[in-house]
Amino acid sequence: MMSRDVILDIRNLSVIYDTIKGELRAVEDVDLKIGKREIVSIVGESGSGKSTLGYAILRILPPNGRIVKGEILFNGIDLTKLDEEKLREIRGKRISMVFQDPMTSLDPLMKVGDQLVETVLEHEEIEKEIAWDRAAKVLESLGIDPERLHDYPHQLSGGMRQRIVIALSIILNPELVIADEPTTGLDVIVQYQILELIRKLRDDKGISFIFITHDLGLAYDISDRIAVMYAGQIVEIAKKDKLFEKPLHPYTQGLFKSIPEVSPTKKELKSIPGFPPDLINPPSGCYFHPRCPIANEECKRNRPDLIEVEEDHFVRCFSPGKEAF
Amino acid sequence: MFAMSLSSYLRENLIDLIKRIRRPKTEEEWFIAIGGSLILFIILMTIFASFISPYDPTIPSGGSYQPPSWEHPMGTDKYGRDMLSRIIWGGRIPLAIGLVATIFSFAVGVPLGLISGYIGGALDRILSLVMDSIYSFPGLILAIALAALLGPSIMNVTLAIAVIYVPTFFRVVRGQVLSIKEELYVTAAIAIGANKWTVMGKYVFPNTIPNIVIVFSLSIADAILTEAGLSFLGLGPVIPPTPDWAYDLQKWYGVAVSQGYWWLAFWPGFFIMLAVLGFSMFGEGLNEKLNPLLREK
Amino acid sequence: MSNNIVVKVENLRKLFPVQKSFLDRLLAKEIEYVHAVDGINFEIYEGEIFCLVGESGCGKSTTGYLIVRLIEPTEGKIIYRNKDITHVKGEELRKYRREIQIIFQDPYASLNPRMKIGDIIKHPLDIHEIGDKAERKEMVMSILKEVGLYPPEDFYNKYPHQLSGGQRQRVAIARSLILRPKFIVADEPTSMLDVSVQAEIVNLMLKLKDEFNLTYLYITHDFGVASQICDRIAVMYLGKIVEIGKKDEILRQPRHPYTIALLTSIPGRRITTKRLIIGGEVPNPIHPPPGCRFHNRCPYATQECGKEEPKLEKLSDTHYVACHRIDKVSEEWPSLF
Repeated sequence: MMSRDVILDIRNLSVIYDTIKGELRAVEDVDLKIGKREIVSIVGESGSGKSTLGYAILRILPPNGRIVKGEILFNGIDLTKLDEEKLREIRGKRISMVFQDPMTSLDPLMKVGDQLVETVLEHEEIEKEIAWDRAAKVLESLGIDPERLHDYPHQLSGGMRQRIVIALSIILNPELVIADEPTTGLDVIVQYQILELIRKLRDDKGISFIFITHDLGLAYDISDRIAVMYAGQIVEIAKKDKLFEKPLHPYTQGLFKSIPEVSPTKKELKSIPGFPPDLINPPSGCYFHPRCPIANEECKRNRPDLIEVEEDHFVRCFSPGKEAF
Repeated sequence: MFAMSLSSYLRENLIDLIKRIRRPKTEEEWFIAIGGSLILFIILMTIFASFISPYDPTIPSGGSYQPPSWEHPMGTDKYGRDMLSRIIWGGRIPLAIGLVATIFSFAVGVPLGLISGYIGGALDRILSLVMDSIYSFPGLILAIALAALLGPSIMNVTLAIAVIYVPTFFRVVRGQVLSIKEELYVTAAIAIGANKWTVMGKYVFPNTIPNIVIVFSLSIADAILTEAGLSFLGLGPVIPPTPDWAYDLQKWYGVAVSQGYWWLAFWPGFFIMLAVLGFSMFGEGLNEKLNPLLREK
Repeated sequence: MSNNIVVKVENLRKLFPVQKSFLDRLLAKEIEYVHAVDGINFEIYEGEIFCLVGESGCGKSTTGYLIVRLIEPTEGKIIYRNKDITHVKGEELRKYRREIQIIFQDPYASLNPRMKIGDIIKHPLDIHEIGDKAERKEMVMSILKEVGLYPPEDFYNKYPHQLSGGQRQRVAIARSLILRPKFIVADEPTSMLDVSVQAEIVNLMLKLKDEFNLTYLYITHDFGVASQICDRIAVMYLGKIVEIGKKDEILRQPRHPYTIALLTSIPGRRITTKRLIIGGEVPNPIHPPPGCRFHNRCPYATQECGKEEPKLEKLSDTHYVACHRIDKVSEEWPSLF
């Protein structure tokens, strides 16, 4: 299928949250391959399961979440079968995560440099000065003045903090970084700078990224391939240009039609009727059918599989490509 | 307006609460269930005292210092009065004082807290100072002082206890008001033209109610204990032969220990504890349940 | 779009004092101020949708709150239909509140959690004593239908926590419209909603504008929304308006470097790939840079830019830019799209 080396191979993954009202199917039947030096975006709205997927890969689900099915193969090792100790060796060092809000990832009482050093020392037995040197070098590679190592998080601006969090995530030279909405709350210009940073990290250091976002435009700018998630499932995945040229899943089409374009020409804004489904009692058949303008009887009865409809373009729909919105 | 929002809140939430309490699932719900049952038990016992009491608690009905038996399940006291009847009737005064005193504190403390917190400025500073001063006095000492000053009648003891708890209501309400008045829906109310009294009554106050209910329950618990304390020290309002748990406890405590007439001291003490426990558990359970909810969204 | 001016803002300024620590007070340090809004001027015409665009912290929301008199201006004037309403109070202010309304950004926080939806929407009628009890209920039912909350009887008795974000925002819109205002400030009304819901709300607001003959001040950081609904756009940076003009003028021929940077930094697949890259971040609004506030990040800045603050210069009857380097900028960026 892909000629690149595959570093992460997620097969048939399902994640459930135990809630008072019942079992919530947060992620269902996800198949996803990430290649070396590849940036893949996972796009979805709230409740789509995109963040849960990210947490599941690193096995950092909240206490009421569990993986009920599937495998997560990282360079051949199944992460779902590893114990805590082995996982800790992988987290931060081989796969790391960048979260949405820098203030929750950074310890407000520690200098930024100390946090970087601590991260290094947890995984490697080296001298503190050497670790500090490494931290300085990493900041430089990200275009940050190493003097910032002596600052506390609250002394830094939002954009700077997010850069530090990125520094934390790459200081141990991971192969894969999962970024969960890393630019929310940052202004467009700073966001652009952060995206440049990520591209550079991929080009210079060969790091692959899983970029989780709700912003299709952002996904286009940063990634090679885009996966669209709805109600816990991947409903469409393709190279970005293919997806933008011809979205095949009705939900993807609906998303495109509802996003206002920055353009002097007026384009009618269409909204997707209805609500995201209740994942404790999901609809029968295709999860999107209650909101889908072209749903038919089969859609109500059967669950569509993710099928390769064009080269490298997968869709989960019985009538892919038909104009829905 | 205040009364209306309070009653509508209670109406809606009481039904919901009772439904949930029938099958308590979490720890808080158990607290509310057990506490609530205890309260109900004691209140019913007190209200229907004349129907369930086997004897008249003020006249002798058996031998002196009789230990528990079939005719007198809780024994008799020195004058041959049935202890069970005295227990059943003995809750009236503590409950009445506890309830009335707390209602009084509520009626004074809550509006003052509301206005002080919302309007702020000099008024707030002065009131806070006054309230903090009263609050910093140990409750029982203050109650003793007031009771001694005013004379030990039921009215005066109620008043003394009421005064102690005014600052508690004031502080809790004021604290809530300070944070609620920064909420967006309060700003929205101002934007549609509401004046400050409307904002206070319709937007701020209703959102403090859950916490007020909690404080109410806990205050009753405390008030009962304070009243018991006063009675125990001989400053209580009870004139014999009126039955009263704390009075009995104080009167028979000596002989209970020296002569082994344990039933005379145990039961009154136990029921005081039951009442206090009931209100406390109810209040604490409610606190656990409501406050996390308030943090949501 | 008529020529009547509904709202005019003159030299509007709002400075927020910074809380001093005890030590600072002891040392009698001078009070510092956050220059949230620092001298802005604009007019909004009857029937138009006027967009105030900028990134967070630029002062756009503060401007909205000032116009609705939820905050008092430090300096300057707010003129509504030729009347100076900057300092009106009490009954007079309440009268204006019937005509000027605001929709807030956060639908989860702007509705009183202890009030029923019907009561929330009815309350403005109670305050301004409009109609009798039966009439008020009727008006609420009718407006619930207008904003798409069907069936209205169902929604009347619900509480905010039972509604989704989009539904709550509809309630907020209903509440703002029930007094039949003429002017509405919409403060980022869709930024906390999911993408597919945003379109619904935007379409609803457009529909209501026509039905109720409204004029909007639409505050947003999203140029996408601004381009689709606005007639005129004003771009704010660090408390100042840097460029203002008709939608076409701003989108096709922006002349301020910041506007161009904003427009070209928006991610997505577009025809224009040339980007104006600027570094750094928005400076601290307590100590805004001297001269042009943007000069320390601007690739075209000269000495003059650091010394003298540019005033809004007229490029056309409707297009104004505050920049010393307009010529150079228009040379390098003749047009977008």
